[in-house]
Amino acid sequence: MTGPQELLDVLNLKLLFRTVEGTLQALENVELHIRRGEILGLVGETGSGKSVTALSILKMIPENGRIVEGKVLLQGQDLLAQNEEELRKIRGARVSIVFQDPSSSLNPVYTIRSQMRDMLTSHQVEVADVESRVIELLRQVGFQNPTRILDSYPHELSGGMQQRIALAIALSCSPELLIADEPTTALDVVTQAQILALLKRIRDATGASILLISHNLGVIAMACDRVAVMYAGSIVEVGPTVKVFRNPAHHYTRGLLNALPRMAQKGSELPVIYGSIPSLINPPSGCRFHPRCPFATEICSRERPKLEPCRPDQLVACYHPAGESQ
Amino acid sequence: MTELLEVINLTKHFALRSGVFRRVGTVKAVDGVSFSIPPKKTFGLAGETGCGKTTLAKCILRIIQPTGGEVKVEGKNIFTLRGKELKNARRNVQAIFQNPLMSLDPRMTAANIIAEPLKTHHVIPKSKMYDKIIELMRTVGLDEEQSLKYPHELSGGQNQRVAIARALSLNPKLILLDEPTSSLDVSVQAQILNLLTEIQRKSGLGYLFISHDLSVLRYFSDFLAIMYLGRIVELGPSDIVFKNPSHPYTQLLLSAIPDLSVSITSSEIKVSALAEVLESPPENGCKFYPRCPVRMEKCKTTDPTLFQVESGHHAACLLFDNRPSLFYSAPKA
Repeated sequence: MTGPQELLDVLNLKLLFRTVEGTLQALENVELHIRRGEILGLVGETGSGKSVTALSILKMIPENGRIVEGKVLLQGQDLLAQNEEELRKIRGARVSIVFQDPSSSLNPVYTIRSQMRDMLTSHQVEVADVESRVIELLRQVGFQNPTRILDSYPHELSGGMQQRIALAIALSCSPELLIADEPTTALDVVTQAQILALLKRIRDATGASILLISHNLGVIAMACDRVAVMYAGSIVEVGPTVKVFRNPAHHYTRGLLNALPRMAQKGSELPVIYGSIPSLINPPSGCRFHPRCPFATEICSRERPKLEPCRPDQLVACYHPAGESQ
Repeated sequence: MTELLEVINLTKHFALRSGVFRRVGTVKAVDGVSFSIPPKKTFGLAGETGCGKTTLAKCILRIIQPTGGEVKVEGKNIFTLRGKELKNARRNVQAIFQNPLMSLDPRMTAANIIAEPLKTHHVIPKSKMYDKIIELMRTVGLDEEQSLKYPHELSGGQNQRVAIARALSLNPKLILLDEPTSSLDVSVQAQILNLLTEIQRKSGLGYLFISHDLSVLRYFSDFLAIMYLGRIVELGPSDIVFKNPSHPYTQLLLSAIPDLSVSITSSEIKVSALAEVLESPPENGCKFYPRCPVRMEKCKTTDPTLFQVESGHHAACLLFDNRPSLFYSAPKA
């Protein structure tokens, strides 16, 4: 699978969490390939493992988590095999991350200027003038008058402005990969659309790849070139966003799309996915979706389906993928 | 026909204080809002954070006292009611909030939570209480065995069902839904929306559905009001508003909705709205002026009221100032 067009490859990742109730199998054979200069969406419901996938890429999983299998290759270099010192040079510099709530990822007692300078000086970015680089970065994230906000504190700015500052900080070392974990969930729709448009502009201007994590299918449709759908710790479908959303091959993807109230007639019943999300402490055997799947057969409960090509550029982990036409 | 709920020129101002006593200004959280909801219908209310949706909801529930205006439930102004009459009126309006974990007491079991309103209002003899609770739980799709569970033992969707059962326990005429599905996943949201639809069909109650999610409102509501900075800027039957959005703010909101079929390149947000809002709204003019892509000179000095765009459909924009204006009466069903 790995080719020159891939920037980052997550291979066969398996992550366990120790909890009071038992061992939680958070990620199971996660496979993800991020291409150069693309915006890849990672979509799934609460607890499907989106965020821990992102954190695993940076080897930032919580204390009780353990990666037992798999590799994360950044241009062939396995990030999981690096020591802390090496990782410090990669985090923020080559791979950076933006989180959901900007007010908690910015330091409330420092000005915007000092927080932005911090990032540049701690990674010893070679710039002639730190101040002018800060201003350039703020312009890049859409501030038309950056000097006005340099001496502000985070609480003086709106949520959308704070998120743009967080983006500017993440971009300051010109990363090859930007991970955006639910970057618009705490924002209003208009601000959300602005941030998504900004992500696209950043990609076009810098050529960086972006991994956009969201539970919102609409956000993914708006911004992403390709999408990976997660369910209960595994990737169940990957493909170009337009193709996957128009013609989902996995029955979970199909169920999710149908559950959206977008097309439904007022008063008509929304089609729901039968059952609820399984416990990952004692996950279903075989395909983790099989107890909820209307097309499940005997093999689905016995063997875990592999992520395999089903249509051009579209992969699905299912023994009975849905047909091409709807 | 009496409207189920009538909100007439409702206003709620909060004092902005510096220090303890010095009043430095007012925040007009709700600023002259009027609308009405006919029985058995769903009225959707949309707007961004801070536009006054929740303050409006709190006034309707009489959790806070408004600065001015009236709220009539079945023709009776709830702000003049006292004592027993008020208690009875409160039975008719119940609420469901966004985060069920925060609106349910963590130390009470599901059964106790559902029983509390029944006890407070003495509507049912103790001997029949248990049967009533189980009946309510069945209505919202919960099992009898879940009655002894605490909120932290239930999932978000199940907790929201408990909140719905509690709201239904007194057979209200109107349920106020403040972002009831915003904290839920898509598949759970669909289940809750289906449940709410079914309850309305069976018991004929009205909903006031507050949400920032316009695609949910399009699916769910009969009437729609769009709020901006404490005002209703557009009002009408929801299919008409979606077909012919007339206020520039409504158009902006609709263009910003993530739509599965539209990529952002084809629906690039209007540039003027993208710019940082640095100017504050003009003193006597339209509050949307600083962000408006089609603003005119007169918008700076004239504050628009709701003008009729077409029958039953109104927008507070001077683009329509040659049309008749609407004074304190909302569209009839």
